[in-house]
Amino acid sequence: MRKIFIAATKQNDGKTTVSLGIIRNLQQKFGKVGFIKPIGQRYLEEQGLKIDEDSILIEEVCGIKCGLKDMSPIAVEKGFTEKYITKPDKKNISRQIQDSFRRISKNQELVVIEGTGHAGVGSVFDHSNAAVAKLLGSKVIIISSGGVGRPIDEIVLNKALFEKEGVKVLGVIVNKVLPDKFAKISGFVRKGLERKGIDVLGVLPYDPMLARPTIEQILEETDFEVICGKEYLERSVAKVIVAAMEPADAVRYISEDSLMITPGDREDMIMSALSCFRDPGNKNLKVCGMVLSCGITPEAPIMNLLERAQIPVLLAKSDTYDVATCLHDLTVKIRPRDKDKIEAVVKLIRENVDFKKILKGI
Amino acid sequence: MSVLHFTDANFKKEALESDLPVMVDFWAPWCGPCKMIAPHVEEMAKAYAGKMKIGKIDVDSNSKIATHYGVMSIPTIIFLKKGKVMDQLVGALSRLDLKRKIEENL
Repeated sequence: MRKIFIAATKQNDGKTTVSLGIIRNLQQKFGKVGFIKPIGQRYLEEQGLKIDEDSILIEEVCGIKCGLKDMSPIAVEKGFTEKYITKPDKKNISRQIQDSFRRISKNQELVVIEGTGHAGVGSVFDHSNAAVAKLLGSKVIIISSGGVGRPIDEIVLNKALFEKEGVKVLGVIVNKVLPDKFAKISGFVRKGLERKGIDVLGVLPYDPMLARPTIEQILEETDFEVICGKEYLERSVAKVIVAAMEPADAVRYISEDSLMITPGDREDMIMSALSCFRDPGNKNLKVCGMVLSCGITPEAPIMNLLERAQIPVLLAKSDTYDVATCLHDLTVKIRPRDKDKIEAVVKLIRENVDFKKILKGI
Repeated sequence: MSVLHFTDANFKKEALESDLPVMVDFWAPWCGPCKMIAPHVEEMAKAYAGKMKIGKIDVDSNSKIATHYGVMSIPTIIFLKKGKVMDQLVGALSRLDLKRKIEENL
């Protein structure tokens, strides 16, 4: 049985995206592919168990039937690290991971193991990604975000920790490289990593579509409330506009699928946003949704317009700055129902990852 | 008096050379917010007959005038006096706001 550990230089570098893409592409070659995320930090309650949300995604999207509990044996819940420091039990965690891995691996031709955060995450409870890769006897692919200097620095740092544990780094995949700088960055990063004796297994162009949240995802990640347009929550957001200027100026900054943040008493802004592009190729409403800040619900005549506008309108208790910061910091995870995003990921990985090199190394 | 229909062809005579103040509603048949304000525009055209000339111009078939006034979003409402732009509003308006703006530009 072959196995590969997908690690990263930090959180949100795209481990799950790469894992999903690798699994879906290799399912065409290997009939039986398994998945495990030994340690999960973002979990959901499923059948009374705490299951990492990436495991749920992979199970649903890739049709992997390994049993969710084994696909996600350790959930780092609130107070987990404090409990461990008070009463460390390294053997128990190792045993749970190994037992789940053994059950997952049964009858599989390939198992993809997904790490959590950078190489050192988990050290606090003696199970860093490097230690887990060693425990499961797997080689590692490191995922890094785009750039030249920073990814190389971070990859070298992470590789050092894996090597300290005696884990072989098969190579790296550089993710989210801006398309207009792709040729340049791809060339430099390959050359730079080659100098360090690190194989580049793929360079992936940044696809803005993958980073777009839907309004529903924004709702799930915040304490905003829907005040109207509940049936349009699936609209995806391409740009966030903070409307803190004169309406005539603000409308110039609005591009397709913009989400506007404005205080609920800025009636002039709200009304300006309720207009359409005058463009033969784009006959849509200028905004795909609104977040009304400062907990202010507009007066009845404005609410009446909003209710007829066929867009979701959310109400936030916090001020405009806090709402903007919160949206800026939002992590956009792919969900099982994001069919377009999933197909885009599969294509992205198929076209930009060297599978021959990966399969030769594992 | 019901709402007037301005065009590229009649705009100079009907709007720019009008003795009365003029309100022009730039709209298109596919535009949702334009439809939302349409009943208010109709109502105001009747209510202010003889005091203000109130008309609509379809931006799809009269792009020359819309481009001249830099209309990038619809609905856009422009108030004119003796051919000069006095006020310009973008987006949907409530009935009360529309009435208030008309009063300001009489």
